[in-house]
Amino acid sequence: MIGDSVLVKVIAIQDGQVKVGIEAPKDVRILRKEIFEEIHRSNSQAAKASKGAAMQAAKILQKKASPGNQGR
Amino acid sequence: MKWKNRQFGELEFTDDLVLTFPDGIIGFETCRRFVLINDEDSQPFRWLVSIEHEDLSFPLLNPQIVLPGYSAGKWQNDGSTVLVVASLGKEIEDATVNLRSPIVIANNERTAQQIILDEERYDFRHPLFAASNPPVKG
Repeated sequence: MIGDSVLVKVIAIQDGQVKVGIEAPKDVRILRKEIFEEIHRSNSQAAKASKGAAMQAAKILQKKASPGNQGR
Repeated sequence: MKWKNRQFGELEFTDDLVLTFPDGIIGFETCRRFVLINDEDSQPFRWLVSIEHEDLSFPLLNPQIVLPGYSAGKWQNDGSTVLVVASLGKEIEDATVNLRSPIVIANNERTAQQIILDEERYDFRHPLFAASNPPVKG
């Protein structure tokens, strides 16, 4: 047990590998570290965005959305 | 309520427009209260603006703009609003959106969360501009 609500179970031991299961209440977030870090990084970068950068990106999006300008 | 954000200046809004993230946003777990604003100059971006930290705001996009047909599965079946977070770096061409962990806003409850989809076809860093802009020849 981790605390009094999270249960760690060994599900299988095979070929030198151990499979572990985690049982936790719904409101406990279970996340692979790589995934947590990936989202953390991308959120941190998003939080730095300036309105100016978004205006620039918006312009590019608008160009893409108006096919008239691209001779299609 | 009134709030002053560094980028957007003074904001005034009624209590019912406040979005609560009970779990915060990953990496910003202590930030729970936000308002979603439409900024005319930078649309179609919308901004999730913290009303606890004057420096904090996240640019969001409707995922359909980035990837038509995008679906957050069961999360968007109950009249909720699904938006994706955009990372805009120094080189704007390298901008990405996080299709894998969108923001889901439950309209009726005024609560929101950043969820993580199981679908691996949705990237944490999906290029905002690439692919659909092939070089035109001839």
